[in-house]
Amino acid sequence: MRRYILKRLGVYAAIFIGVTTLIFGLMMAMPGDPFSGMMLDPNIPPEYIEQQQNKLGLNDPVPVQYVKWVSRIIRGDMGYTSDGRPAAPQVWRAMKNTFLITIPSFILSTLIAVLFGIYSAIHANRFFDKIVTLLTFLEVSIPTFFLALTCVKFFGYDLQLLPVSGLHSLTGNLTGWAYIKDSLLHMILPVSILTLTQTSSMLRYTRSSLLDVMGQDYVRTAREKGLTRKQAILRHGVRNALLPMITIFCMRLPAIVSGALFTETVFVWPGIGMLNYNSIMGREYSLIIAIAAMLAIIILLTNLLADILYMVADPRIRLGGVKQS
Amino acid sequence: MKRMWKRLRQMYGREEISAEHLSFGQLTWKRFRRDKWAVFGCIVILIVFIIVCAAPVICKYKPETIDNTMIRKAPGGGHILGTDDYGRDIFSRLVYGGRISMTVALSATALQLFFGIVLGSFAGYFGKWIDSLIMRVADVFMCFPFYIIAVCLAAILGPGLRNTVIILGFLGWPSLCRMVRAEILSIKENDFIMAAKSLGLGSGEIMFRHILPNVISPIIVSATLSVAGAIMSEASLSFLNLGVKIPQPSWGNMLSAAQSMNTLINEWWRWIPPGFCIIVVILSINYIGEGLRKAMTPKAGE
Repeated sequence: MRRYILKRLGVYAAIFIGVTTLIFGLMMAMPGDPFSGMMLDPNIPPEYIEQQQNKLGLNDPVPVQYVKWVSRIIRGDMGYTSDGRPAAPQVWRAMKNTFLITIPSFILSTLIAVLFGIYSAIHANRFFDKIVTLLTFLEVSIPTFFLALTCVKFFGYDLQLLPVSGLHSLTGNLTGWAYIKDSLLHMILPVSILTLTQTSSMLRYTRSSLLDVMGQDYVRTAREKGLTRKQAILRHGVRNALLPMITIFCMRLPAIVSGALFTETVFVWPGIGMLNYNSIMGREYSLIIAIAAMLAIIILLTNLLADILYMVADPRIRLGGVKQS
Repeated sequence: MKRMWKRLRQMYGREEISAEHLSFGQLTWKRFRRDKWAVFGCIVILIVFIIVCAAPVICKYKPETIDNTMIRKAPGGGHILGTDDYGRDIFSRLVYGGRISMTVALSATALQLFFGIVLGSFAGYFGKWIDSLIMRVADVFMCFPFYIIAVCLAAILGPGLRNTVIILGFLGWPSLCRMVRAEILSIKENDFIMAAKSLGLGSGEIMFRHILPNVISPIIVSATLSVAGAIMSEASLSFLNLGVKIPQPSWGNMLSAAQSMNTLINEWWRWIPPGFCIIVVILSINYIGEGLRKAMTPKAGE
């Protein structure tokens, strides 16, 4: 087991180096540094500028810059935005706002997907299953931003039911319970949209993996031994269908941070998606690079989590019996 | 006994096709025809394709002609779907935009297919360090959420049709590469490959003339779904004004007009038609892909 974890960690370290090199390369490819864009006093001697650049480490050889940057990013130091403020607090604040909508929707969508998926598989090809299949197809086909725009028009304007913009109402200065209630009202629409768009992938995988398992011999044996169909599936089938479900579950985890780009754009929600988009439009390189690096690290960590969960769920991997591809 | 089988067959409505004299393609087509949704998807795509090809004949106005006297008009009076804020006819923008969206999707998928199949075959067939190298590169690419890196690349390369195709192709090949590699690994150890090697065939010939035709089914399904995904991604990028550049019409950048509240609420004809077209086309392609998957991998009793 330890060898398995060590091997996976080695793979991830290699990928981490590759990813950070790629991001760093992108950063080097982008034009500009802190001095080139400024209108400097022409009386400043060029040696002084060069001295300042050296002090900031801008003229170091590229590998040295790379190592310095990686060591800072790992520690959470993300540099400064162009207005001089440190970048890290901005990123964390945006992250918290994104979590406000993505975590509830992740939990809701996982619950709905698993429950409906299991029910669909048990009653395969009946009416409920057909409706659910149709809805999952539809959901993959509707662009998130189109659904969001339609909801803005319908719920925000036609029905005037729910607020559609930002995190707080503009009539500021609400405190305590009124503040929380206001934030919750603003959260309803984005969370619903995110839930709707995230359910389908997990639902389909749950349904198909459970369908595969249902055809296996051990389920039939369980039935021959006297369990009802539902008992056999729920007690023996679901456990074995877990492996693909864990894969999808862990593949969806990075979406908690990155998945809300279009929802945030339409609802003007001050989250990481908006921050990323605005920083790209405004050429805030430190923010762009910091967000990209952070996302890559999170994805690597979720992959590691997936591997660990596999080990827990499938004893064959723990005992080294199954060959990994 | 015979009656029981007959009733079972009637219940499930699936009789086995006697397959002695049919080729793989004909068999697949026969099975595909059974799936009503897939056939429906085919018909829809065919209709869209015909309309989009016949664009110069159908559309009265050119998509980029500005007419300042007819700004923001509702449908009617010469313009079937109204005009946008420069007086351009929405219907012709819709049809020509369909051309552009489908061109981007097909080109991006072709690029993904090329890199995915070639690199996946090399990785699967040669193994050892080539395999590790290509897989690590694919892992690095799959490590990023698609839209974050796509937005970054679009900001660096700039918007435009060609750049969008490059970005979509560049970011899409790793998943195809993995699939091709897995399929090749599962076939590599077969006897007919060993026979081909002992006959002295070169690696390239073995890879592309003997192994690949056997793994073509999942590749075709994956390619179909890639086209749908490419349409969605192109629409999303254009929505953020990072894809196809205005004034070139594309379903995505027509939707970006809806970001202003005035257009969203009062001028439905500017954003609902392109959105509807995107939904219909992607839905049809998904049904076709699902039908292909079922047709190419028949399971007993399905």
